[in-house]
Amino acid sequence: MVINKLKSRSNFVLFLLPAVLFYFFFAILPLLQGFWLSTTNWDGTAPWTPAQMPIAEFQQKVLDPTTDPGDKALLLKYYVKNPATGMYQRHDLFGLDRYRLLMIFSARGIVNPDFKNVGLKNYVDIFTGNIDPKFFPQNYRQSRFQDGDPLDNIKTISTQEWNQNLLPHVTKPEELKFLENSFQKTPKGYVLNTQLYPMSSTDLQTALTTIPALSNDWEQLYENLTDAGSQLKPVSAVEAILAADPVVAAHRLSAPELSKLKSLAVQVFNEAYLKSVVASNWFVSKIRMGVLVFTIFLTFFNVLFVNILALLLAFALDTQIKSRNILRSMFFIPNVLSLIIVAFIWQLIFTQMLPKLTGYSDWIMNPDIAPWLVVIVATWQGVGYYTIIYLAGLQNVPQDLLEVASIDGANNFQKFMKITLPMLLPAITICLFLSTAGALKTFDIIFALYPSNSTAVGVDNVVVNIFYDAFRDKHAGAATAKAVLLMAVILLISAVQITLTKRKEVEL
Amino acid sequence: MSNPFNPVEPLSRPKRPLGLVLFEIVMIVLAIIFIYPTLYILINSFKGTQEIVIDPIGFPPHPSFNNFISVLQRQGAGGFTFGTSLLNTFLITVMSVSGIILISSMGAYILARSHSKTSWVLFSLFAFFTVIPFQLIMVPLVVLATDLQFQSIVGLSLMYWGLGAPAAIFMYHGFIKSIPFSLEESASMDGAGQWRTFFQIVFPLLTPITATITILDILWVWNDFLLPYIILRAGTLVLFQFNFFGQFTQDFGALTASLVMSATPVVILYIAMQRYIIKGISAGAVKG
Repeated sequence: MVINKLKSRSNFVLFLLPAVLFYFFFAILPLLQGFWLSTTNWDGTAPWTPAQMPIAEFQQKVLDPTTDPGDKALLLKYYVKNPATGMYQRHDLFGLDRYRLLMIFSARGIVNPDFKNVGLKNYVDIFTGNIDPKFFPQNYRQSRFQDGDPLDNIKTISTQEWNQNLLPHVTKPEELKFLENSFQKTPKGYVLNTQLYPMSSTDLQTALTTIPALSNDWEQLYENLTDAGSQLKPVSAVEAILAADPVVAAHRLSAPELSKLKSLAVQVFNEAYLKSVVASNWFVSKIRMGVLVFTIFLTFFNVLFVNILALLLAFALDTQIKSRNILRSMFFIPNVLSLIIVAFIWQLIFTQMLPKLTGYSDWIMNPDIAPWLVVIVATWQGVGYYTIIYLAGLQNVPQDLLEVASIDGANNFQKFMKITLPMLLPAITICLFLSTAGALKTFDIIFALYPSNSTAVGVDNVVVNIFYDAFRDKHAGAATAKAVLLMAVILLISAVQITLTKRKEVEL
Repeated sequence: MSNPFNPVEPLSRPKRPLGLVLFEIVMIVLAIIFIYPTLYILINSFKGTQEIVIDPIGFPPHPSFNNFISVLQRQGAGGFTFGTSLLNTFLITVMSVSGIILISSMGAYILARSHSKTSWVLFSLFAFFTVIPFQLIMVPLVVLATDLQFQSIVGLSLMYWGLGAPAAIFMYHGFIKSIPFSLEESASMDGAGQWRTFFQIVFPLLTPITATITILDILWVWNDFLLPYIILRAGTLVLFQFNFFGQFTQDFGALTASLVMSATPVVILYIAMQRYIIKGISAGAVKG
């Protein structure tokens, strides 16, 4: 009996050991380390112990106070004296030795500025808003015209745009006057005055090359004039600027050449000045959602759409139509594809098919539309999964009960409200929580739909933000702190789910 | 006409077969619209890049397999071709899923059959995994992979053992509870030890749930992106796909063909194993 018990105890350990061991190593240990890292200022790559230290300092502060021979040997194994630089330099190290060295150094009271305990600073920063402003909603200007855009883009400005988005932003009277001179009001809108701007930028440049004395330096001159123009110097200053220009000074220009240059220079100058005025004043003030609000936006609409569509689909497929199984398979297909493939499929749809179909090309990079595109892709991918859960829930609706209700004279609506819906409630609860947790963690879709430019378009959610924070912007510690808070949110959601499910079980 | 979505009134009533037929046609059209994005990619994969740019919507004027051949010949990031990436993914999936099945079935068996406090604590600890966001263990996992020199397909597979075990144990646990104890008892009376009882009696009985877990885990490991991305950077099929899009941004013919090629293995698997996938999702969800 005793032997049996011993044996079963050893079996208990042996059967469980692999699972527990691997789970501990690759989930629990990283979790604990995550908590620890979230209290450091680590950037994710900096060495934990100094990469090098002056010889004297290393000996005084580290080597001499270390009495344990093992520790000393370890230190000397990785830190090698390099008299040429006057430093102890560290070899690459990884594994347990990294942790042992860190302990030796912290026991000696040496603080590595790149890897030190900052307590709850990361958390305090998040709660006091002392982080990347992109995390929160913010105003921004969506420019209608950039300095580098060709002049053709502002050949005509519609009256509405002129009155709403350009004129109200012009504050300086001289700029206003300049603008009103440059454009002529027509029924089509405000049209660029072709007398003031007869040539395009390329024509202007070509014209400059026809002044032989300038030879190849015309490019430099063009740049100088453009710079001066875009710095909003008054047009009357052209002559003075030309006189002071080093390029003009360096070349001997004949009188006709000089006058030709002057007329060209005025045009270059006008153009640069106009571009600069329009670029800095023609914009729309917008509000960017920021990471936090976008996460809520994406989660809310994804959960809403996925569940409504899945419920409708489940009802539709729970009928006697012949092709129900094939249809169910078709709606489920996006779910078996990798999210990366799903995102790329839609990327091609958004960048090729939609522009061709609608004639409008600004879809995926348009900050107004992009958040909805992410919702569409996430919904398309997820709907099949929840349809299956709802279908399983519908199987639980007892048919005999419905028949009895029919006999008792209940109409369809009554039967739906009194029987079908209550029996579906568990499935609805499960789907709501599963989809909420899933939507909150949407990563692959955004990451692949917007490789490297999701931040610019404003479709970073919390998990994407954490990823970029940790690996691109080098704030591993702060990023992990955000992840800890995300876990708190998920814990909260799960707690609500468990209480709700428990209560319903009692009711049933 | 009453609401066609209402399941309460079966549409199969012989009275209104026309309504049902119309409804079915509507549903089929909707389903085709729904999967149109995948069809779009499939159709375009037979066109040349120029043909796609000129007319992305129509059928290929001169269908050819050139795109597929060119994808096969290209080298992606890290020197991995489509073929080597496919092989790597296959190896990772086989190693990961077989390991998960083995350690989880054994662990869940003991947890389900013993009623001690320890087993309850351990089971709760496994269940706790569901609330850990991957972003929290992401940085530590990179550190760990460096420390253990795990930046290889074997290392990655071992990591999947630990990350896949909780869900598998959860599903096994529920299933084992439903198996009567008497079989094991009689086996033990006949002198079989616990190991033999498990591998010869219990494990075969677990086949249905093993199939479900296997297929769900295959889909997970095969399609996973973030863990391989931070550990390996290149080498799996999904990573090949991701890097391919970064590398050949304008070569639409090759891009669509690469999507078709990466998706094909999973779609074949899905068509063959549909039953288990749907059963697994319904069963997993009902338990919550």
